[in-house]
Amino acid sequence: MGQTLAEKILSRHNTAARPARAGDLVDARVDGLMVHISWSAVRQAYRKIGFEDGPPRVWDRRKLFLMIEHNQPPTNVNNARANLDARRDAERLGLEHFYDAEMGICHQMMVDNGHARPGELVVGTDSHTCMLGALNCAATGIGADEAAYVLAFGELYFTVPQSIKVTLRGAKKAYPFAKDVILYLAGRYGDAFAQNKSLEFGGPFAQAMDMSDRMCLADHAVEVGAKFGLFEPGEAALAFVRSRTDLPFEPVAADADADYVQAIEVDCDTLGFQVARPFRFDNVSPLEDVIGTRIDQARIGSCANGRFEDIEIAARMLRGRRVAKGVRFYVSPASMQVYRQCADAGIIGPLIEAGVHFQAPGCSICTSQVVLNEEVCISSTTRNSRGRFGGAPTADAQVYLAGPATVAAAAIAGEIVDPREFIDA
Amino acid sequence: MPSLFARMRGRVWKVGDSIDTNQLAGGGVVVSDDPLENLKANCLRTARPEFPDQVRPGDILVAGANFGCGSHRQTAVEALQLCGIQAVLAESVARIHLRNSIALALPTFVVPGIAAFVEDGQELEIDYAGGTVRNATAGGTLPLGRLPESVERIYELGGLYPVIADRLAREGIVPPRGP
Repeated sequence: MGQTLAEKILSRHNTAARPARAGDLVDARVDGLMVHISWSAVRQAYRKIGFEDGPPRVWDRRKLFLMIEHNQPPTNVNNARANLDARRDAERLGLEHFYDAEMGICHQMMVDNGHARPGELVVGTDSHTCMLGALNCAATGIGADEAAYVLAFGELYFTVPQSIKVTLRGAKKAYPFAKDVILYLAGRYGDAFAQNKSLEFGGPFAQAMDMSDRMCLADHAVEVGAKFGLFEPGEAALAFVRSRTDLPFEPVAADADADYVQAIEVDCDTLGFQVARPFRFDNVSPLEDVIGTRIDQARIGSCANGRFEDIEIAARMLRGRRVAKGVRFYVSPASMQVYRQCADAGIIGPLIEAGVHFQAPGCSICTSQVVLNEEVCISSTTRNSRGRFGGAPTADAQVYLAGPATVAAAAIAGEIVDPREFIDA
Repeated sequence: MPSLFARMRGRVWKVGDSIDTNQLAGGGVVVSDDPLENLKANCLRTARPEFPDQVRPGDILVAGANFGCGSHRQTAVEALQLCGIQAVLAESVARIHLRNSIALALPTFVVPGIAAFVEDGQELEIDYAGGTVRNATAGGTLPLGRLPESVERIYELGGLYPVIADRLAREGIVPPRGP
């Protein structure tokens, strides 16, 4: 019996140097550890041991990617102080890759800077670390105390996951569509259908997807419970990585006789736009069922949908049009590099002219920016659970999740409409 | 920290499916300058508004499927610990949250059938060594699966940080001695 992508990558990294099979518990060497603003929580783990001044060592100063991002620059003293601690630790530990209070989203910064490569095993203190799977990199989120362990030893225990093969058929579309695909899967199979499993995306539609859409799909693997969301490498991904790093890497492909627990096929030619209604990722309807829903806010951003292609579609749809009166349309690029891409393409000016609130890069568009109980928001960000945008006092705020084309269309119309009205041929 | 193998008994709080970490540790209500007090005050407030005020040390949380989905934040586990929850039983637990629960040594078990097995406010008795969960109020038992030995060891040591401390010490790296 052959091996899945997850089995191959975990076999390669197994400290016991044995082939790994689904269900095995293995200690695996990791190629990279990403820690973001939760560095302060990692330090706290060391404080419990008695290391008051942070970790005494790092297993490999080239493989820890410390990215103090999420909400920068700091707006309160605690965060500013946490930045200072990180800055001093990075210096003391001699870290090669320290992103000092850079506005952006860690996962996008990882791929922008070539820190995730095909065939690697990467962990990070953020649930959307699985986004790196778009590059054929087995990547997953861990907590701060686990990161403290990895930091010292470069290893972590893993259960080798079973794999689900998702075959996407159909021809490439003229707009981002990955969000619709993952929402459809969540709606059809539930928000835990891939719990602890590895999703492997393939098929002609997947192969034709641009890197941005692949990253969206891999990113959302965690929203259906998955450990990994993996793509076969393909020329596009290899070219993407080679343009960002000179370090060697070895991509993996699944064996033809690999064992999958489930096989799912999706025909993207016949699949329409999908929307998740409040308050769950799997509370999904076809767009038609929510048409006419009035909105107060629209948002494009996050590690799921904050790349150039996600913003460019909005710029294309807004050409000669304006954001509807009474609607706040927020757009936040996923990183400084994406910001630069938007600037170079000349789309920021027209977006602002059309009434868009164009923001700095970061995570706040997906985490802390408030939606009140009286408001309705349609967003291309990652989650819509109760209180996502404002905590417990905003438990009834209505957040719909959709792809960037659907979000931009709603921003123009002031209500949820079919985006094809505004996508000019 | 009590042993995983010691019997646990406590009053049950029930929550539904797909309770995400944002609902365990999402903030919003500010009651104090102490972040830990605020963490406690917001825990499960969106799902059970009375929970933060009425939960008592030793209570047991019973959840539906996909408990702890969403963000990686381990404050979700810490919030439950601050509330005094001694164990969590769920139909299924999201993987990062399950790993964080192990790392912070909050006994957390996947027990298929648990949601229909017990009502809010009833008493449960967890006998990990014996492999059962007993409804001490209404009677009946459910089987409780055994965890891998390596995970049991983390629980017995009181979490992952003692494992880090042990391994560092074996390599000669120890914290500076206090006065």
